[in-house]
Amino acid sequence: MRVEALFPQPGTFKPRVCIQCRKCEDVCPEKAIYQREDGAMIVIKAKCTNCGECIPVCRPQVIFQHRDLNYVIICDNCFRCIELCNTGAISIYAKTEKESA
Amino acid sequence: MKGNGLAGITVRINLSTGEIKKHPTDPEFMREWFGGRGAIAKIIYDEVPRDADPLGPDNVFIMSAGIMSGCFNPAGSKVSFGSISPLSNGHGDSNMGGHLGPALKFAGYDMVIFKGVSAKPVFLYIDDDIIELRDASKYWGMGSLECEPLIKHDLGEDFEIATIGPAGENLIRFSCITHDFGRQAGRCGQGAVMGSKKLKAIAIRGTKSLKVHNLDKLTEHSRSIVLRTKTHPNMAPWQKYGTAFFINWSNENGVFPTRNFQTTFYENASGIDGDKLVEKCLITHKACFGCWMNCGKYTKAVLPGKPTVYLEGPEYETGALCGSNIGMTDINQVAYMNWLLDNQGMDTMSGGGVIAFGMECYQRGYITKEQLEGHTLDWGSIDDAEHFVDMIVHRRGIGEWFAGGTKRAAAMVGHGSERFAMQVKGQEMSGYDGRWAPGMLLAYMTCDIGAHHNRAWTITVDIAEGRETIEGRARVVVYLQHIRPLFDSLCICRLFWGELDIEPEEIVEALNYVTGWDLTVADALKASERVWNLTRCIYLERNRANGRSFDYPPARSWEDKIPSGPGKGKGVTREQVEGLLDDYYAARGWDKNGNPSRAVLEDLDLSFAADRLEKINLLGNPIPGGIPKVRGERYKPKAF
Repeated sequence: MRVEALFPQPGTFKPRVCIQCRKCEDVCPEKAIYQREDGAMIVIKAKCTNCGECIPVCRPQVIFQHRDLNYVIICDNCFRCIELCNTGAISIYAKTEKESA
Repeated sequence: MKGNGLAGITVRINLSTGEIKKHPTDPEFMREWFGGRGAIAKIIYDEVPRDADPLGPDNVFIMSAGIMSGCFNPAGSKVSFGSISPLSNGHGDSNMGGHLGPALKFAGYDMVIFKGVSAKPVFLYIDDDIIELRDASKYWGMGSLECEPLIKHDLGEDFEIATIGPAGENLIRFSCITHDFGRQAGRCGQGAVMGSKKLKAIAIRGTKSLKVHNLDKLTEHSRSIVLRTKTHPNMAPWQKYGTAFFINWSNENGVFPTRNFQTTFYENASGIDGDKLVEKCLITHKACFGCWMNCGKYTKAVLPGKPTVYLEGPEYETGALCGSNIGMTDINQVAYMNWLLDNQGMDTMSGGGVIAFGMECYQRGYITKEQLEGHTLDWGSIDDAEHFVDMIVHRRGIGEWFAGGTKRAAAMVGHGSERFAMQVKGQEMSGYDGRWAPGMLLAYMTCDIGAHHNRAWTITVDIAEGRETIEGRARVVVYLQHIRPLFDSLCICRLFWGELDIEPEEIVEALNYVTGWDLTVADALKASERVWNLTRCIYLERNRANGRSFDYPPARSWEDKIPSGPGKGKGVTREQVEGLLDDYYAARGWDKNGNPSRAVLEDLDLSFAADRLEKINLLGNPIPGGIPKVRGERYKPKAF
């Protein structure tokens, strides 16, 4: 996830998370991304070449490319952020039918 | 490859010539001097000539992200700035949270050391491997808070920015450095040092990784601290109010500075406390890098006849010194003052102290309406305060007198006003009155940078252990003066330690996971004590008189009894002040004159400093019966 800080005005944080839309999976030339049963987009590290094709198609812009890694990072539903967040800002919920469509 | 928490490179910049050099950071030096405040003190000791003007080219200006900043240990967000302080003429360092320290580390640098003076305004641009001094003429003259979004607009949102305001540019001695729209390195006039070097801003983008020694253990250790403390009773009020939570507490305990410390109880405290802040001003909670306490309060101030302004705060200290201490009755007024001083680039603590001192001078008729360009300077008047700040920032008329802080202003005002110039060593007092809190008073008196609370926040000890007692306070002050500045050396925040019952052992455990060292709490405290003694040596060498002569508070602190509130009639006597100092020097292994003895300096591997003190006849006399084996007595602050 990424948190956009909108300061000095209006003075808010805009968190963005993976919406599991599968666009990254569609464009990946190496077929290194797939959707797991729980909905998480999983990057197969051995296949990923960190080419960055998936970056521009990601609507919430939450695919993270680190210069020291040879694969991209996408939320894999580890839920660590939910566990650690101290304001209860992050939670997980099932998609509605409309969202799934 | 295992790391040690260090980014690996130290940058040296000569602003006079524009030369930028990168050197490997020496891990041994970092281990000996502990990154932030400690390394800064040693560099100042080694490199600044003893007669160098704090605002001249020979003073250094150091930015250090220490050892643990950016390492994803809890609250590892700090960056320390240091130089010879233009307020105290001794060692000065000040730190801030936010995201600048981690950004510096992620760009690959541990420290940046500036020397010289630039001919024209510049800002430091760091984008990973690229380091440049860029022209800052278009930003020069702008307010800190106005400048930051403009630089972000010009460079990119993902740059972390630190700026100074017009106060820093005009060398007002209590100027601050601002970052992240409201995080300040406020004390010791670091903004003025930046201004003297014509360095308007620092912009950093860092995208590299930082390696620690044992990532798995560090992650698990940090996770367990976060999860355990989520339900701590202090967590909820801390998250809701931030430090403004302490305003009512301080007032009820009769230590709340009111109208330039004339009394310690403010009748309008309920108008400026944490409840009012949340109710009237709060926009959002805000956290520094890697912190789960989110004590930052992003707010706006709405006042009739004034523009609506956005700021972070007021925190407790601003609430006290720009609130009760200058007679403000509404939280919006305090928030507006907070914004005003932030934007002008003045420390809200010293700034509040200076305005309060001016107001008392006006109350007593020592300064006149004519001298104030036809304006009054009444308690609680926001227009008067704003005009006075404008006179100071632009050094107009008697604004020039106050531009050096209360100590220098008192010398110009005369009329014996130094007795209520609430400062020690030139730095204005923090927001606690020491008359009914002798431990806190001693902490102010002996603090290495002047009357600052953060080096030893002894007020809780006084309140928990007895307000009239001086017995045993000195040893606790010494302990606090070792443990609290340790956080400044490691460049992590100390608030989670004090408020959430984290044991020092847990902090040192995290340090060992980051660095791969094998330190104990005793080792870390000794390293911090070494720094404390070194900063004392810097002070003595620069100011050339017995240390004791600099350690007295203003006469108000021991001549006047508290006139109202819970502490009515309380106060310390001259004998008690002397007794506190005697106890303190004995607890430190310093002689009665307040000078460190050779025995204690050698015990701390500072024999080089002893030699230099001896040459100027300021080495302490041998201590009859020897020095205490362990200096300071461990004290666990009680939760309240």
